This record gives sequence, structure tokens and C-alpha cells, in this order.
Amino acid sequence: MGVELCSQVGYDPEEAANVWAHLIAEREARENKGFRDLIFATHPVEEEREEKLRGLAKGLAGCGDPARRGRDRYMRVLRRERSSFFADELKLRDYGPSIALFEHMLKHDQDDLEVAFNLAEVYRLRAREGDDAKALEQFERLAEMPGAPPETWRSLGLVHRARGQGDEAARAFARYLEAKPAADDAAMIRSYIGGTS
Amino acid sequence: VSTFSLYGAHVVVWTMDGPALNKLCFVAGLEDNSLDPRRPPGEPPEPRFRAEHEPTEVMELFEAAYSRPTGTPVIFKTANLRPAKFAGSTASASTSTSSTRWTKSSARASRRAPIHKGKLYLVFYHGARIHYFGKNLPEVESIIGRRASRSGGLSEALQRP
Repeated sequence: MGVELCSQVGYDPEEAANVWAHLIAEREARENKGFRDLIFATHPVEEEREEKLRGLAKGLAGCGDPARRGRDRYMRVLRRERSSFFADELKLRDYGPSIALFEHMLKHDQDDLEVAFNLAEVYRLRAREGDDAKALEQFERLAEMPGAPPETWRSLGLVHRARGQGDEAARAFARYLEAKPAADDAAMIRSYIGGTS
Repeated sequence: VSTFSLYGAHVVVWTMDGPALNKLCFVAGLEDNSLDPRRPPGEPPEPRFRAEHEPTEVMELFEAAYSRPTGTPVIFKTANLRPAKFAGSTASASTSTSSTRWTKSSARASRRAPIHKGKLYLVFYHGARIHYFGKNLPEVESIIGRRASRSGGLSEALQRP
């Protein structure tokens, strides 16, 4: 019934199935695939849901019509809240699904600097072998782009510092303080500069 | 109110009005990259402390760890993260406010977090923002200040209330 209503009021009814496809992709990216949220434990598995919903959408008005997706409008409305949603996502420390999520968002909009920053943050926080290089590459690219979050410089400094690159770290931290002189962590960052320069 | 072991750390919790309203926690010696061995398989991942963490990353870890048990997203705002000394060791200090996204219940926390020999030591005071955080704050700051000035080392400062 929900899929039919979506079609009737002007949405693409296939998007219901696509929501599940995204959830499946995030689940597959999870290291601990045995984990299943309790709330879904008594429900059909995700693949069944996706298949069923896709089948129901076929033949309904607007199925697969990109003009009915309203992605741009949705993203505009979400923009007010999404920084805090991204912060919540990083706090989960469930790195695989977070990488899948941010990479998926970047496929739609590769110029979304906030998403690119958060993807690099996932690598910085995961800190596995090779992650520092991935984070560094992304932070360095972002740091030169107007509109990147000022925290890009802080994270760049932290990665340099972890790699023992004191001068580069100090320069990045200084740029962070220049962009955000009243930052809540300014005193700590100044202490890093004192210790690394 | 309680004493227990967490990831190799000795934890002591004090409260004046019940732990839901205010609590002062002493965590002595959280070990590098450790996980709870009693954690059942299939559980979601947990934030882990790493010995090489900078104070900024300890703050991030604290926020991530503190957001987990509530079952609802927590909006954290950390203020005045700064260098500090604690029982002869270099530490960081900060205050934060937090509120759950849906219920809007809110709390404040004040903490000191030295890292010594690859282990994290932490003392933090947490309380409901309305009335209970402020009620005991002067006494708590006095306790933390006395412990911070002890010269017997971190374990002595945090393990022996």
C-alpha cells in the first residue's frame, strides 16, 4: 500500500526498494556481519524486502523516473541538520558502513566538501595501516578548496603529527586557528604547535 | 557507589544524588586497543582507546563512548579543550554539554584526561544540567584539584578515593 501511495502522490515508487539496497550495501560493508539490529530481527531479511518492493513498484506510475525523486530538494532540507547526523555517524565507529555511506553520497555529488571531509575523518579515526595516507590525500585536497570545513586543517595537522611530520602539522594547525581563532579546542591546538614546530 | 574493572582500568564511581543525576568517575589505566572480553559476538563495534591518541582524539573517543549507552543520538558540545597537569602528568581538560536529540534531556561534564605510559587515566564529573551538575561542582572541583596536585602518580591519585 505504501508503494502505491508513493506512486499516487508523485514519488518514484522504486525508491522504497532503493532504500533497502543502500541498507544492504552498508550491512555488507560491516566487518561484523553477524550483527543484526534487534528491531529487524523478527522481520523478513533485507534482500526479501528489496525484491518484494521492487516487484511491487514495477508498472506503477513514475517507476524509475528521476524527476520524481526530489533528491535536490530533500538534500536542501537536510542540509540544516546533516552536520549533526554526520557527527553521529562518526561516533558509531562502524567504519565500513560509514565509508559505504559517504562514498555513495559522493557518487551523487563529488563536490560535496562536507561529505568528502567526513569520509576522510572515517579513515583518520579508523587508523589502520594505510588509512593515514588515504586521509592525508583527502585532507590535503580539501584544504586548498574554498568552502571546506575549517576542521579539515585540524585533522590534517593530526594526521601529520601522527606520522611524525611536525613542521607540516604545525603549519596545518596554524591554518586551523587562522580560520577558527575562537575554536573550542584552540588552547590545545596551540599547545600542539608549541610541541611540533 | 561502585568499583569495577573496564578494559583493564580500575573504575570508581561516586555520586551524591544517584548516578543518573550526578556522578564523579575515576578511570585508572585504560589499556591500549582493548576490548571487553565479555562482549558477546555480534555486537556493534566499540570505540577503542589507542596509546598514540592525542588529547583531541581522546575527546572524540569520550564523546563517542558517552553517546552509545543512551540508545538515542547525543548532541555533544565540548568547550575549552586545553592542556593541563594531573598528578605530575601532562593531561587535557575540558567541559562539555550534551543533550539527547529526541528527549532533550541534557547534562554537563567536566573532565581531566592524562595519558601515561600508553594508558589513559580519566576523571570526569557528569550531571544533569538543571540543578544537579552545579549543585556539587565546587566540591567536585576541589576534589579533582586535590588529586591533580598529588605527587604519588596517577594510579595513586585515581585508585584510592
